[in-house]
Amino acid sequence: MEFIFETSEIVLRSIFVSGLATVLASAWSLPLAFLLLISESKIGRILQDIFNSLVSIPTVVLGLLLYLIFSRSGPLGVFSLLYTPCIISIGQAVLITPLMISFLTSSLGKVKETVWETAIALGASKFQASITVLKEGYVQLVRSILVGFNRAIGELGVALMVGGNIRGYTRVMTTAIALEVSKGNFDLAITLGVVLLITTLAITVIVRFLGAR
Amino acid sequence: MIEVRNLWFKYEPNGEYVLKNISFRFHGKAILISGPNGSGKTTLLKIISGLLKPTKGMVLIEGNNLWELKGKEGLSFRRNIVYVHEEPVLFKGTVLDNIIYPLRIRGYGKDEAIRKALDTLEILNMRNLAYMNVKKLSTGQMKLVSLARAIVSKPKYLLLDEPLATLDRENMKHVLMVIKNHVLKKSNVIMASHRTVPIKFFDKTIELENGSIVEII
Repeated sequence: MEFIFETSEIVLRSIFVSGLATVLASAWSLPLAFLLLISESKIGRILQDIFNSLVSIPTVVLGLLLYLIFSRSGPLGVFSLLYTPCIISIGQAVLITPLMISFLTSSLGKVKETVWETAIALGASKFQASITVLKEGYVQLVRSILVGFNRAIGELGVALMVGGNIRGYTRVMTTAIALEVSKGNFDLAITLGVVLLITTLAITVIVRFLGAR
Repeated sequence: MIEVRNLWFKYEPNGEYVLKNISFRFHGKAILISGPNGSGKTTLLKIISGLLKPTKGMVLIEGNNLWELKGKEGLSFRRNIVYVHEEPVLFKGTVLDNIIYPLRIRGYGKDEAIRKALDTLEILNMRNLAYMNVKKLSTGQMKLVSLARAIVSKPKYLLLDEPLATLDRENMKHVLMVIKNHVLKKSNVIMASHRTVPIKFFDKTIELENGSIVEII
């Protein structure tokens, strides 16, 4: 019973923490991606290149950076967020931001190429044309959110370094798997691994299904 | 009146000019821009419609340079000019959803927009397609829907880019008939085409080749 309870608790916490991270990342990534998309300035293109290159940032490096920033002596240490579920969400949100922006600018870019010019040619204002592009590209928006969530729930470095893997508080699926394997407790590790795999596979299938539409 | 004055255009700062010193005036009802593929017809239409900014020179529409008009004034003036792409880009949804679009963005209520859209479809003999999803349309039907969407707002200047390309003979005759009998009553038409079009249709024909005017008839 305790096994089931602990497993469920870890799974639910993982979904909540990564869900919150995805909401946070979406809140700034979607508008930023759209601004980059409609911007024709050099700065916009440079920013896009920077986000593209940050997609593959090692999670432990990001975890270390966040640790230094949020530790007691760090610039944001005053908030006492280190080793809380909240900091894991923030960290994961930062981690998936470049991925979401990169995904959105490339997939929505294709929609924008055709839809934006058509809308403008028909007399739409820039704002109206933007809304039209978003409407036409809502599948790409949903896909980017799902891809972001998938990346967040599957990462280990940030959750481990800033979350601390505290039992019943900041332990999520990836950190629990790492710990249980190191302890030789393969039952819980395998169960969590299967749940994680099913979750990410299910989301991948949905993303592919949306992509095929 | 449209005046194109010493117009030069290139897509990339270091690229070659695709339009070279184009100048003409137009104050009739219909003008044809003809020439082979790659001669600069589409680029010229996009510049006149304000989608592309001239590299050098200017386009004056009724004495106004589109690029100097800002804000609401600019938008309001730009709405007099509608450009129809060669490859029709239809938005998701039904034919009707597409045709009410230009009216809705101009502030028309939904009911009025639908009424006007249905009237326009009637003119094009396409009323039966109103509630059909655009995914199910043939290429020719898409082209006609694209034309209907452009004329529904009765723009003062209608810029048609290769409206006859990919159409079969019957649809081509139908489009020309609609332009002659309906569009020209409300709008001035600038049409780009590499196909032979009945010349009597147009007040003026401009022949382009390699980005330069070779003949004005």
